[in-house]
Amino acid sequence: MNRPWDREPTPEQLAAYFDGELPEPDRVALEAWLATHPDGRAEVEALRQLHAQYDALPVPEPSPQRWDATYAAVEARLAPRGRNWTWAVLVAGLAAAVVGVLALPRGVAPIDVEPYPVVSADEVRIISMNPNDHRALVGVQALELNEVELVTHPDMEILGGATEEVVRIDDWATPMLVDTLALGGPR
Amino acid sequence: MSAGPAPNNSCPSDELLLKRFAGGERAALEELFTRYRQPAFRVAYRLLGNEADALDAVQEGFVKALTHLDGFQGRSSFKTWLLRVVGNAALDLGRQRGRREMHSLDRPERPDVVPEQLLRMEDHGRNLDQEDLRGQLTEALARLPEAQRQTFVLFADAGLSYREVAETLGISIGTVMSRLFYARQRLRALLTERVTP
Repeated sequence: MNRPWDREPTPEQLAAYFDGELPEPDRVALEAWLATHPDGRAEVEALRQLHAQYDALPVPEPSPQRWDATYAAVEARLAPRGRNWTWAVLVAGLAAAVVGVLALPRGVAPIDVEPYPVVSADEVRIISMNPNDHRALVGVQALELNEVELVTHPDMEILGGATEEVVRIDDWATPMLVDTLALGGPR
Repeated sequence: MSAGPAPNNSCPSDELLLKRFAGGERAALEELFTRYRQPAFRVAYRLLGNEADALDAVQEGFVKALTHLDGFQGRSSFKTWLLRVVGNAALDLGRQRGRREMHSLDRPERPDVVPEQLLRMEDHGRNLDQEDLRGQLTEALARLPEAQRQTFVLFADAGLSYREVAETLGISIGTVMSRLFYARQRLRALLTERVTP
């Protein structure tokens, strides 16, 4: 026998009921609770209306030509094994050799990191670079991409609650979402 | 709500396709692209509100997801990994191009009216027709904090379960529920704000 829902459900539980995410015993119990609680039913109805409105928003279907162009771009970027493969390898090897020769006299160790490119090179100005920052976050001031700098944990304030991934960096006014993909450093 | 075609017995699994792709098989890449381009596009489109930008994000997402496969292997499915990367690529693109461009969804139908003018016109307390509703929901979605917007779109548009959204974003199911709650609250509040004279 199912246990009764003997407490006021949280809004998240009502949403989980609407979303079909409650385990079956909880779903049955909450449904029974809703039968005697019009306020709860009104909340579920409001969710239904919101999603009906949202689902009515059209999402365009790209034309076959645009899909083909997008796929071709993906393929080109992922597969340097085309007809010019030999030339591409030779050119890449030559470029690497030149960079190596240029770097050696200065005694600069090669940096084998591959930061996640959240901005293009034109939008980046490195303010400071410390060897200890090689795994730092790439800080971007949202909306105004004038300055980009590397920041470490002491520079950040974690904003708690449901948005724990949102951090404020130094005195910047705009909190930004920080994701592990935005981490620089070796993978 | 939509999702890509689920693999069945007659379709190779994602894992097999990824192995073939790693071996240089072009057809495997094409199959993966065809399988997941729709949910990836829906997520990117909802986050950017523009078809061309969304396709750019899809392209960027596929490239990054497939060049950083070590980021998901053993911890999630390829679909959730891809949608995570596409979502992040879309958000990055949105930041670069500015939020104002996110509202360009309104422009094809009202090329002579900028969104700000459109919103002022819609603030006269008249009943909403379908076009008004579309513009206002798009505006409301664009105003959500990024974390809530991404969570809501992954759930509502990519058709992911709470668990899959949590896996995609690397957060707990409780955080998914909380973000969905706040996203819906804000969407409802923003819509109510718009329709109240």
